[in-house]
Amino acid sequence: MNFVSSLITAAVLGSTAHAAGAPVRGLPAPGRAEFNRALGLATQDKTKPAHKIIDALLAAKKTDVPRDRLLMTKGRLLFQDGDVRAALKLYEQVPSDSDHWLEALEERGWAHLRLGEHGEALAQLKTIKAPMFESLVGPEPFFLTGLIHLKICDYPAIFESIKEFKAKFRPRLVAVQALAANGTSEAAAKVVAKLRAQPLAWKTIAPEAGRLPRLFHRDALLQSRAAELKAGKSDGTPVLRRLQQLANRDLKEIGDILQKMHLLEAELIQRIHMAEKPNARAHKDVDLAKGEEVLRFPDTGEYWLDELDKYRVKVTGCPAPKIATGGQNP
Amino acid sequence: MKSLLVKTLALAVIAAAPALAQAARDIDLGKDFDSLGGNEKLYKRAKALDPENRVSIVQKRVVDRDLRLELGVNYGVNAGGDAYVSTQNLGGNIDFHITPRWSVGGRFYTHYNSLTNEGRAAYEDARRRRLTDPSDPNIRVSPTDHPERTMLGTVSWYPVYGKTNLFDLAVVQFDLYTLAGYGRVKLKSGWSEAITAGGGIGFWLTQHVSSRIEGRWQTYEDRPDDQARRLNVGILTVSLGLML
Repeated sequence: MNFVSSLITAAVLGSTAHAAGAPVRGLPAPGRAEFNRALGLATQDKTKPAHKIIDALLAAKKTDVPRDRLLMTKGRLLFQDGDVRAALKLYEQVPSDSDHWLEALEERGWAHLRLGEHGEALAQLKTIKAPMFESLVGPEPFFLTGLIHLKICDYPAIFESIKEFKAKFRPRLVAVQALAANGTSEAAAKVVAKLRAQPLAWKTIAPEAGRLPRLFHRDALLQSRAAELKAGKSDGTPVLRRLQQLANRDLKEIGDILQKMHLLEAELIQRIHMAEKPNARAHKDVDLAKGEEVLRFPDTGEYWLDELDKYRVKVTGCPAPKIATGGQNP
Repeated sequence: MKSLLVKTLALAVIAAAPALAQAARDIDLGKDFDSLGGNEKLYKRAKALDPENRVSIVQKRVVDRDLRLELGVNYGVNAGGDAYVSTQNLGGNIDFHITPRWSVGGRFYTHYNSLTNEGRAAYEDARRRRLTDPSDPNIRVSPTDHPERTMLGTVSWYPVYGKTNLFDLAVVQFDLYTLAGYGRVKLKSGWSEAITAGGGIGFWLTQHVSSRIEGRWQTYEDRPDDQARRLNVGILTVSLGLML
């Protein structure tokens, strides 16, 4: 499955792109300045003018801002406005070969959570946590998974999420900590050596990606440092310095999520002591389309490429709380 | 001198502070990580409250088979039937898929026959004996009434679906099906009615290419020596089809 995994991740990642949410660097080009202005307005909570700019860019025949990035930004603006259903529709338009597809899935998860559609939210996260995307996904989807399981009172699943989080992020944490502390690591040195002859692309850095800051290949500053290295204008130190900065960013992200996971665990402990039997009432199963022939397969834990983004989760109700009854007088 | 030493020490501590803070934070993060989860008693208690939420995969068929025509060419072999005759078949099949669960169609074969080892031995033996004693009327081999062509109308039902990983190149969906049919077999002696039943597996390779492996039982009457005889034949066929 390794050959096919690299195919799907290459398809998902495509060519290098700018990180969603960050201003587009480089020479001014049609759309970029307006797009950056829209982002600035959004951070000041001025979503109305930001919407106008993004709508104009989406309607434009030619713009230098990739369409999938515009869709993500429009979706986020709608989410910010509280129009979660409309935001979901935008996220669903991001194609699976886009650099932002995994982010779109995560944000779909948050949107479904806000709408109370817990099964749908879990279905998005199941795709994100597939092994072929391991080195691309941050810690937040694991927290989101735990949070949703808490909402639907699936307590064993919270434990499983925590275990999964620890198993997947412990090795990365150790590697990124070493990079942050020492300014270099074995993986970083390998990547710098490769970048002397090859461009910064997923194909080049994929074997080392799991031990380096997440999505570092999409960092605009690192891309320019890598270009300088390839052109022989630097010795690789600027690349290492930027990797170290990104490693610190990753550590902060992991630390923040870790705090939230601890809060989740605390709430879980309290709930377990309060709860009784599960409520057998099941929520309605969500089908792709009513009346349409669909194929159903059980989830065996194996990930098949054709099943990504095809998960459905049937959720039941929360356990009934323990109610104190009167006891005998001593 | 003393103040210089104190100043140097202070500077050293200030310079090392970020690295010390980093190291402390790293240790904290590592400890934090390890302290998350791990309470087995609590986990067992949580298991007792399992709400049994279930994950399944729900997906559409990759190849739409509503109101679609499938034309195929096939190759097959017969088993059973006349003990002296070995039969291979080349032919075509047609299936009109009404829904992914039902199709109606037909099977058409041209049969290519040869003597089996047993049949060849029987003829050789008779020929040798005839050479020895040409006038003996008891030296004969029953003639064969081998099939030449078959035409069947069929109805197929596809109750079971599945999918398979094809050498890590693609995921191919398939359906197991049963079929029943009626038609006619052209024998050396003339036409005979035939009934067939069986099953197979259909692979939907792409939107326009399919493949089948089919096994059928077929029964008809032949007339070697002008005496009717009921034959039960097993037929195994592989085919490659085009979905229109």
